[in-house]
Amino acid sequence: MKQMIPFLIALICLILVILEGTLASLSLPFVKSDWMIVSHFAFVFLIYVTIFFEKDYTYYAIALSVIVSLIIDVVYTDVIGVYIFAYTFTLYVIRVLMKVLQANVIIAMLMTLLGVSAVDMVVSFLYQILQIHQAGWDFYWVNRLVPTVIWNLLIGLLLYVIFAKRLSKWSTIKFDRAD
Amino acid sequence: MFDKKRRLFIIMISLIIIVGLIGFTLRDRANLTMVEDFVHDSVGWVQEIVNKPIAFTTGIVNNIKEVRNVYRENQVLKSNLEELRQLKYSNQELTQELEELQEILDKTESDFLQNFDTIQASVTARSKDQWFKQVTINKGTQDGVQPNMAVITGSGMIGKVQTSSPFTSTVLLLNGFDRSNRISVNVDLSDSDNDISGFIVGYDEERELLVLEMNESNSDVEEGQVVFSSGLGGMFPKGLEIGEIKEVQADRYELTTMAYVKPSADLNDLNHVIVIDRAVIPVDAEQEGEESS
Repeated sequence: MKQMIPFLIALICLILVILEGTLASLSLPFVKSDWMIVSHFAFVFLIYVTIFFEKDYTYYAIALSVIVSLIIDVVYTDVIGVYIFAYTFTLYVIRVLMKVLQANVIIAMLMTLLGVSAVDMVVSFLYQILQIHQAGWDFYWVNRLVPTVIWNLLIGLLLYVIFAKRLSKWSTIKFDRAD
Repeated sequence: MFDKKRRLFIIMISLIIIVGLIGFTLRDRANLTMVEDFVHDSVGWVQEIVNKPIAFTTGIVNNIKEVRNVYRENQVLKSNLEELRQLKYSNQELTQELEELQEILDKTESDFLQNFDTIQASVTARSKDQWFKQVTINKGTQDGVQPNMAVITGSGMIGKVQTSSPFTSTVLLLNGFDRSNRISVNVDLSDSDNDISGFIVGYDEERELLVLEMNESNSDVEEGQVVFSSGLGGMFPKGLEIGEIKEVQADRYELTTMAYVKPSADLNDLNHVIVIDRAVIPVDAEQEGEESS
């Protein structure tokens, strides 16, 4: 069990990445057509891994974020590197922040809000530099940033309910229990 | 002290690697590296398993929605069936006539759609980042899909194959096209024999319509006319329906006419697509060459 936990977390991440692609191909009924909703499920999950699972001396979330974002870059985009940078950098900042913050539901939601908006802004900014898109800031924050953040907060709440307790339990099993 | 230095070193190295990766992948590439092929295929494989229950549920929901309209639809379909029978008959006649005429002219090559192999595929995923207008389909080079093949649905063209791995491929949708991969098209004029030619040069994000640039200034272009691919340029076969003209205007210097085209196929809701294999043509040409030599 002890050795299996990181692999279990990795498996959950992989499934979340795949769900991101599947959900994008479905047309959700309550969504306006010019909204661009980007799912960052795996990233939100990795935030919770950072908050509830990670110890000071381990780097599971960072390592997983490199793998997960590499998959996202290869499968869903043309340019490899943008998501790797955005995900890993933001997770690192959250990790540093969590050294001084407590792990509870408000902090977790706040981190989801800040993390998702930071990731999405970094991604869009980099794609603008690379001339993947030419949308201006006004267009971007109305049509993409706000819907994306709201959508990911809802999913984040769901993931929190499912995984927060479990992740801290896994953390004690993995690091604290002596056997 | 040492730890801090090492951390900085690692960060610098990874930044350099990331910038290198971005630079490497930003070029126009038709062929993927082996690693990318592997990731595409293994993710695609898992994706199909994950999609099964989801497709099942959405299927049930759609079925319930459809049951309500079944009676009305049935009436319409019955009346269509009559027309279809007539159409089939005239189609047979026309095909026969065409063949006879072709024989007379000694013309064996034809650019018609019927002469192409088709590959059926289903859409397994869409790019989660919507700046990229691309979807993943579950057929790859093993099934004969190659980069730059046209992809259509029943209602019209949706895009072209961008990259293909052994078991999955990525399709670039029409609204992701730009000047580097434009489509040569004809506008179908109902009251004249000549078609007007032009290029689809891109996609207008605000209007959500394709931008069509005519080769010359032409006043015959009107709303409601249908745009077809012309087969020139060699990339796409002739006669694929692309869309309907919604808006016409002169360009900035009034040298050419610009029109905005609404794609016939719904690019936001894709399930089953058809990849059109152009590779049939060179084989025919080869045979012909052998026969004549």
